[in-house]
Amino acid sequence: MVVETQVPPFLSWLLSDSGDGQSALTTFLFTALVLFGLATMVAFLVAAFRYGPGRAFSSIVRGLGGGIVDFVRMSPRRILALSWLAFREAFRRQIWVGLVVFLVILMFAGWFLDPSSDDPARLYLGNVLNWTTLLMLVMALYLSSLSLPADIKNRTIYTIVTKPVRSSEIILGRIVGFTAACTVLLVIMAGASYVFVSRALAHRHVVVVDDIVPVKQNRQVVRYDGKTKLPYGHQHHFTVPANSFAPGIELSEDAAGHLTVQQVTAAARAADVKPGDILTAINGATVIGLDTAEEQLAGAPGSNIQLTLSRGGASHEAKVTREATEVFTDIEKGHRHRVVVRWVDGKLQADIGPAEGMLVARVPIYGLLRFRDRQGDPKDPSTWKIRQKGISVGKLFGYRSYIEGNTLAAAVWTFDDLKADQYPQGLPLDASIRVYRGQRGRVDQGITGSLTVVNPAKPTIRSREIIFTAKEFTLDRIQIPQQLTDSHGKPLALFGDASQPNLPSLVTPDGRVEVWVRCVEPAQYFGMARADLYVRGADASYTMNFVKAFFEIWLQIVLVTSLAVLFSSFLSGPVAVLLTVTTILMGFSCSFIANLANSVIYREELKVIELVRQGAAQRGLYLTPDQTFAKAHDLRKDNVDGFRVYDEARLKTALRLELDQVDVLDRVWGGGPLEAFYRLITQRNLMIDLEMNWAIRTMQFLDKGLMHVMQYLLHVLPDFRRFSDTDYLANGYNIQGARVGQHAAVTLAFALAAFIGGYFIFRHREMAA
Amino acid sequence: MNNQQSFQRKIIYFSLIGVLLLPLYMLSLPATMRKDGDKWSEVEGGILAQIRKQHNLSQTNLGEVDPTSATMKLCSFGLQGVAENRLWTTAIDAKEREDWTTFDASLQQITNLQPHCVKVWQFQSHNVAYNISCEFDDYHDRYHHVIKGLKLLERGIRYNDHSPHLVRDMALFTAFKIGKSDEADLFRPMYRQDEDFHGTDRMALTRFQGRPRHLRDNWQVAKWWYQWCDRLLDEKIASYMSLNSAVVHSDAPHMQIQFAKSLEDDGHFGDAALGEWAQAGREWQNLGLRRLVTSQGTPIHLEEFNSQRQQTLALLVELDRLASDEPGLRDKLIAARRATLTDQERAALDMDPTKRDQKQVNLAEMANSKMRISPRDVAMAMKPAHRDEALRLADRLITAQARLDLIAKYRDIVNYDYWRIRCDVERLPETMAARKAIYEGNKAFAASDLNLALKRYNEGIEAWKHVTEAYPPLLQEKTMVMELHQIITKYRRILAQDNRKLPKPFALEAVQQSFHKFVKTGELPADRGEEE
Repeated sequence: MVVETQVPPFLSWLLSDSGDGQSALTTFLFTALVLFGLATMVAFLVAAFRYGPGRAFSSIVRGLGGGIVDFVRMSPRRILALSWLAFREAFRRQIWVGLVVFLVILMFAGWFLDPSSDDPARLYLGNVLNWTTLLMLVMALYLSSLSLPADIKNRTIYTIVTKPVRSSEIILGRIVGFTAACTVLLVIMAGASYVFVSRALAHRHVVVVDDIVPVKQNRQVVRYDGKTKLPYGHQHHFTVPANSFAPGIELSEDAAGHLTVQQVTAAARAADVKPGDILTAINGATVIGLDTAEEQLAGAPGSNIQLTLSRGGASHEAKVTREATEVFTDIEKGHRHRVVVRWVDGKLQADIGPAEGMLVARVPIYGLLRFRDRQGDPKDPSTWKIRQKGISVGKLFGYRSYIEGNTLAAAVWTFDDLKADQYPQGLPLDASIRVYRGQRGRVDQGITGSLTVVNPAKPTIRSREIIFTAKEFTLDRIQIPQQLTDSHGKPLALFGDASQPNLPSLVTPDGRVEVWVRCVEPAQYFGMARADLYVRGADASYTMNFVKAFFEIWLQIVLVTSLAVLFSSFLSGPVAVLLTVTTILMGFSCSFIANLANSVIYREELKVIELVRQGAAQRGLYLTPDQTFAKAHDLRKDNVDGFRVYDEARLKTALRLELDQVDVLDRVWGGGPLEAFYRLITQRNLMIDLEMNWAIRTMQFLDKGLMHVMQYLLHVLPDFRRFSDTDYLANGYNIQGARVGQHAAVTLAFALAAFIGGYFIFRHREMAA
Repeated sequence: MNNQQSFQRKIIYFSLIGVLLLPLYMLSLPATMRKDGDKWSEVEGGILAQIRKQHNLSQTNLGEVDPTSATMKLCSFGLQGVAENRLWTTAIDAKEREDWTTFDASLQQITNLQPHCVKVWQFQSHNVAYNISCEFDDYHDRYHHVIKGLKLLERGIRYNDHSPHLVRDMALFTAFKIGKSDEADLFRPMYRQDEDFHGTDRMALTRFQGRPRHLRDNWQVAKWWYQWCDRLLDEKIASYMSLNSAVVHSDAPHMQIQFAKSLEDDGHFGDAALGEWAQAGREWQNLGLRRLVTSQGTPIHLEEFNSQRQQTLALLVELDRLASDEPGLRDKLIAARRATLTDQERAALDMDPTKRDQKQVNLAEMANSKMRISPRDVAMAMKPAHRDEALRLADRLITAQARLDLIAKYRDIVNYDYWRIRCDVERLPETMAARKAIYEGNKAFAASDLNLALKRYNEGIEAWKHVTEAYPPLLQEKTMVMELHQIITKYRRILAQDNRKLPKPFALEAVQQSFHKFVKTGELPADRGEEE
């Protein structure tokens, strides 16, 4: 699953230039102005057609004036009263059915969800969020698009419009009221989901005595290997070093360096150790600090240790037994458990804690990924551009690209804005690197790689290689320590050391650093994309993340409610429902429609690009867009087959939009709706070339026209999929606040537009009625 | 229309509905159970229920009924096909994007929606155990997915407990994905020690419940499943359909052979291995004694080949005896036939077969078929006094010959003779000594003890020489030849370490010759190392 979109801070997104010469706010204002202008023009034309230009002009001016008055003089009290009406109507129309359905789904979710799946957290979270979204959108749609038309049809609307209320208040009241009703439902669903997911995923394993096995080396027990029982469809393993057991006392160190006993276990208490005692010596050796003391205390389970303690100034000896230690299990299905191993009656017992790391909100800080080829060249010699991709190993999914092992090929991540005080323990990296084997090699061993930290300003300052084994489909933690050495063994500091100003640092003063990853083994390949290696910031709160995900669902509800109220202000109930459903469906499949439109509109051009590139590739050449265009032009002049029908302007656009770079999995085959239907009924698959005749040509021409319309529609459609942060929550990534802010702003803009539009239309209708 | 008319119409409509309900009732009355005293008996139900039962289409006939699956089908409101389509595309897309959680979830729903479609289970379990497992680099992950595929098959078998295909796939994957893949050396011990997999009986409450807990070796488990397939067919729970009876029933003994072999591969050369080989021999012979249904419909036994041949020969002798007072009858017939050939056909027939071009090959074939003299032809050409008896004999001969051919064909399909000899040979102390010597030689070579390796290999090669000389048919079979050739190759490598070449004359020369023969016919790939 790919989750990597990073958004700029909210205010800079809203106010400053985002690269295309406009900030979000100016785009909003510009769009609003255009829409306003268009609406006014259409209204004028309609009115002029009916009453003549003079009257049309005056009625438009009057309408606008009235509108402004209506907006300015809106009364919160009346809006509230109308909202309350809508709220009550919502419950009168059995909105709670949605809730019941949801609860029934949760009750039977165990039938459909497999807790022993590889990533249960993702499965459960994904499911509750998707069901909530689906049900809430259906409820919002049902409520808001049928209400106004029903009132108008039953003439109950007159009981409201005859009261001293403004049309704007009626429209806004409904949007607010229905949204509020849905909010109540959503909050209950969110609560139920939270409990459901937490309870479904919570589990504790059991370890029986036989499952902890001592491992000996040279007849000495060096460690204990343990494993848990299996009832939750998975098993954890853990390793306990034999000399890690400590007596049951908890120490703290004060400013003067005294080690005070804080808590004791029953066994230690029996040996006359009490909270408040000060530890002075262990086995006769004076204690120096907490770290050394802990080292001295550690030893084999069941062994005894002599403590010298001072209580109220008097010193006394206590003989305690090393009885417990604490380790973590391995990570299985995305989580691990804390294990407390105790020595009881000559045997080891393990208590396994709750699952940790299953429901998290990781904060990844992504870098910029660039590749170097096998000669170590950062630029592509044919285009003189920095390489953004490695090589392909022939997978359909082109998201990741690969580097060859034992060559100079490398993947280089550049991280920005790292601050020393945020990473006191060094730089924590999370990595997940794919492996492609060019030869079988040793099946029982992973492929090794190396990781080097480089100063981007002075590339000669680079750390010694850190060797690691690639791990796929799981996050492998690589911790870059504060103190490193270079390949000659000279010390380096990660962030620079204030006490040793001459020590070269790997992170530049402005917080930039490069991480180079290479594959070490010949004929093996590493595959990666930008999101596969990142600096792991401090985790955010999972609960907050959960709230944010549901807030985004709420935003979708607001969107649907506003749109449905807008549509219902001028359409009959069923048509309004249909139009809203279409909008939602199209909104959810924006990217598919965009891909479809491109595939249909640029069909011949994409084919031409492919032909030219294939021809060049056979001669080992890579063509830049300009070269591709020129080559196609030449071939067209020579009247070569397949080059006669394309359009040069469109080819230029296709090359500019880099449509040839679109992932194969995202390309849409089989043509537009008409052609696809034709293929369906004649049972021709998507890849077959149709025999060209006038009927097919007409069909393709009409398809292209339709797709152009779709492309324009895409500009005004809300992209619902972008609003959905299910993937973030389900995959355990923090939803950035700025992202939520952006979505809230976009929702507000749509809702405002829908409200204003709805108001004018509704007022006009009312007058006509 | 007045009120009365409207009322009359309503009456007519309702009575029509009532009448129409009657055939509907007869059609779709469900099959139920009725209690007579203490006994439950089945009530057949309506026509549809009867047809369902007749064709094994009702849910209970197919296997387990699952509330999840039924609910999902109900909830899809007749859009089941659309939902399935969507789920399949999602699963394929998720697989390409390496999004395994989505893939698993889609798979779960697909199997819920199509639980009785055997192909779905076959396809997807293969997909998981073979295709997806390979996407992972860590062999633990690979193993995990192989097991996932096996568990998927188990679920499929629960739903379709009469399907020999799923049972056979279960056996096949267990045998070959665990036992013969690149990772076999790692997978086999992992499978044996997999408490999670073997610890619980996931087939409980089905006819396949109660696999003995000590069966942990993949070959033994595979054999257990293949034996279940035999039972399904023997007890007529399932029919052969497109399955070849000889192949189906040879699989379980084959697994026993593989198990015996795996013991030796793992270095166990004692009585245990000998016992398993003896068991393999018995099971293979039982295959020969089993009544096999053939595609022609006549049941045969592979072991009756010799008696059938004798019977055929006796008939042939009898026919010849009848024709003995007309010497040269057959030659006369041939000459007469030859006279009917065209000049071109005769020329093609007479030329050196190796020098014929394609056209001549066709002509020669045509000529040969025209010249073929059947026993009936001979009988018809006899004197009238013998003709009647000869014709009867000829008919019996033709039938006997056809049956002999059929048995020979089925024996050939499973390579019956070879495996029988092989089981015999492997039980010999010499063979075991040969294998043990080679095993120890390999171990010594891996431990860089060249002298010991050579010594053991020399012993092994000598022992193999005796075995192959005593059982020449062994070298007619390419798997055996390939195996021995690999031993020779290794021997050559060990000798090369000592700057020596294969001794001349070489003890296993016959194996080499046999190998080259197979390479020449393209049945075995050439050994490039040998050429160097």
